[in-house]
Amino acid sequence: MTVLRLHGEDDVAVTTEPIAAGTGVNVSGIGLIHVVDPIPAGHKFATRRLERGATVHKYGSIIGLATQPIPTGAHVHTHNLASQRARGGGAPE
Amino acid sequence: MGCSQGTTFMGFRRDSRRPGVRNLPVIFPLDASLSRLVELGSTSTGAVRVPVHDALTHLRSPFTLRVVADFLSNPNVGHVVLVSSTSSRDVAEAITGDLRRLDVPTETLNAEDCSSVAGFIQSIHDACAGATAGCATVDRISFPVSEMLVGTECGGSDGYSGLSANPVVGKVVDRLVSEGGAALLCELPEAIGAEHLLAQRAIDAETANRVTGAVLAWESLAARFGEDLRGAQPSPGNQDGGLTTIEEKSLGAIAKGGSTPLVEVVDYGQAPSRAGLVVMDTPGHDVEQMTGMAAAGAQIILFTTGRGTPTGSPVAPTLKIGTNPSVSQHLSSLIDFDASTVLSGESLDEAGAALFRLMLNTASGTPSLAERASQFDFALPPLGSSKLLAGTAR
Repeated sequence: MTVLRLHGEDDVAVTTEPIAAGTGVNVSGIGLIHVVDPIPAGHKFATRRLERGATVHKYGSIIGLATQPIPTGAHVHTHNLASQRARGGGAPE
Repeated sequence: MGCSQGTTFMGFRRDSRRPGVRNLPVIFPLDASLSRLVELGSTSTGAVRVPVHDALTHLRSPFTLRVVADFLSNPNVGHVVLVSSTSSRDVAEAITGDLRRLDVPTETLNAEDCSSVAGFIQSIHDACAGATAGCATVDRISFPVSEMLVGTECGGSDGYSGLSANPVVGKVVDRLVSEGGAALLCELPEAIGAEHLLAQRAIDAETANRVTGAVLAWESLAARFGEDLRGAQPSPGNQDGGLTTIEEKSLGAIAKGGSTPLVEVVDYGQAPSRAGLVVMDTPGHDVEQMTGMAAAGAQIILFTTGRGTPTGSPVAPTLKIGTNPSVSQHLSSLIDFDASTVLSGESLDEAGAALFRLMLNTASGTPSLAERASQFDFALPPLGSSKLLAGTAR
């Protein structure tokens, strides 16, 4: 299994293979993280606790806002991360 | 290889265009209703039949006429057979004039000039067979890789696209640009959230402003129509693959553009005026983008895919680059190059060098899998140009 954290400011890491909940994985620049949800291949998990409304970084850039508190090791996807861009009904922020 | 003047490929000399990597006989119906007769007449002749559907209902717009003429004068086109009906005879004359100015041998078959359907099919067959025979008589000669314009595209992205195939393509783009060639980065709706990185790489303030403005125009277009792109971007397939937001998809998508300065921003289908990395303002639709890149003169397209998009340009050989081991293995009849090796330890530089070699071999005549399968698609942006849609791109 390979876990990729792409940039020193990133809040998430990507796994190249499925990870079962409870598995401990080594993340570069962070150390051991216990994954708390099942993570499908190609998906990402939080490498630190993120508060609701926090900006979430990948590739060293913002990929969206946390829509709820995200514990370390949790699956980060559409249920807890939302785009800040291309929203209908208003000017882009 | 081993040439002191740099890397070369074996291509076809053109008088008024870049050198071709193919010398294609191409048949193009100017009226969708002629598609079936063109299919019957061109089968087994060796001619490349461009599948034309409803997109040409706008054929009389200056935009569409320009793009079709530019597409048919792609460097890889050696001979064009246009097929027209009564209602498209004037269009045929306009496009023929454009192609002749670029020294593209062109002939037109008019349906009303034939007395029977069988006779018309036979005349299509004869024209295609003659074009194929003529194109086959020309020999390849050596050209420096600086003569190449390469298009880049990602279709069916997944969580690996930005980690494997896209940065591997970026390495190819960097190498090509370092040797004096040019590359196109497109699909600006899929640069939303990454435009600041492109602007930082622009050679001057005007280029920076133009790329930022073009991306924001796509974003505000969606807002004007009351559309929320979050349902469609990333697409459901992208989301299954692990991409959550448009920003995330965009940051991975622009990795195809490598790391060299952004030298120019051009409109849909417009040829770059200089070497280096060029952004083309296209919609995100895969086939529309390929058409635009071919119209701009791209001789080859590097197409990354995580889900296995089975498409290709009729005129620009399209190499599929798989982002993950699964797509590369399960869809091996579609995937020319497996970039997932970088997920298991191969360096981006090594994978990039291997893809660069494959691209040169393809340029020199080795057919891509899409060519072998005659996987040829053609589409124009609906309603005309992306600029028309986006309004404020300039």
